[in-house]
Amino acid sequence: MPSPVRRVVERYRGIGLLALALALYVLEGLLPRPVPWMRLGLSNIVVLVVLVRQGPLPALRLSLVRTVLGSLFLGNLLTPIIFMNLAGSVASWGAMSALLPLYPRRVSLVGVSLTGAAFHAAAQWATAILVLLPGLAWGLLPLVLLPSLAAGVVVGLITAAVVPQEPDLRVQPG
Amino acid sequence: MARWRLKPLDIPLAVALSAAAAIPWMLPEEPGATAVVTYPGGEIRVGLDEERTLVLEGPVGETVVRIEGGRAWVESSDCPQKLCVKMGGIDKAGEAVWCVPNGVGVRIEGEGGVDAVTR
Repeated sequence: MPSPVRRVVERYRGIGLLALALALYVLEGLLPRPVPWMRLGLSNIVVLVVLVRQGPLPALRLSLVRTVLGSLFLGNLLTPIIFMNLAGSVASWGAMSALLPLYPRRVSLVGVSLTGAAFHAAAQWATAILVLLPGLAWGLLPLVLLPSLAAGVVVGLITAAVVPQEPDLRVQPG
Repeated sequence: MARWRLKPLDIPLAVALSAAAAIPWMLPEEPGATAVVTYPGGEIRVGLDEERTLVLEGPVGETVVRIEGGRAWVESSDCPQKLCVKMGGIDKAGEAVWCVPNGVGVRIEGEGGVDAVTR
């Protein structure tokens, strides 16, 4: 690739990734789901890729911009739902960033993803309770967290499939 | 396409998080005694042995909460998605339904503590 082209690609890669995350976020928001707060979290594929390839800060930036713009497009921006979504994004990012030193030797993308999904769901649920239900409605926790873990595994597997090469410290035979 | 490999901490993570998530199911089930209805203007407590219909005003309109036969549910709401209505009835301590757009929540509390006195 000639170097001017490479420079343009480098410069606009962030915007491309953001566009991709946003497209996944909004498309997924438009799909029919059993209950609307349960999402597969497909845009987290992009956040995961950025997290492992560029580090925690670019991932946080992407995650926050995706959540705010995505909520704008889905009509959630000026509702309490935005607080639930932002809390979920930050908690998920924090948990995944904490696992980053263990990746890829001890934890795979699936492990990182399912942890992020669980923290996303827990934070969203906790925010809903803080905003609406002052008492702790613990009876709902499994119904919220268990599906999110499954969604995290699915997203992790997809991410593992699309990340071009998982850094591997072992010597590859052949 | 990269091949995914299970790493040593993947399973422990999944098991630990699933176990943490399922803790409420391991606790003994407690029958509900009081429906606590929160809305932008405050909080209303209704005993589950009562029969009442509450019409609550919120940012997007009216949310109607019905308490009857030991259960509580959202009868209707002016929110766009009607999730609160689809969530159905609740009757056990710790359960809740809510309408996020209209700021109305219903949760069930069990016997005991301050709740039994205020009833």
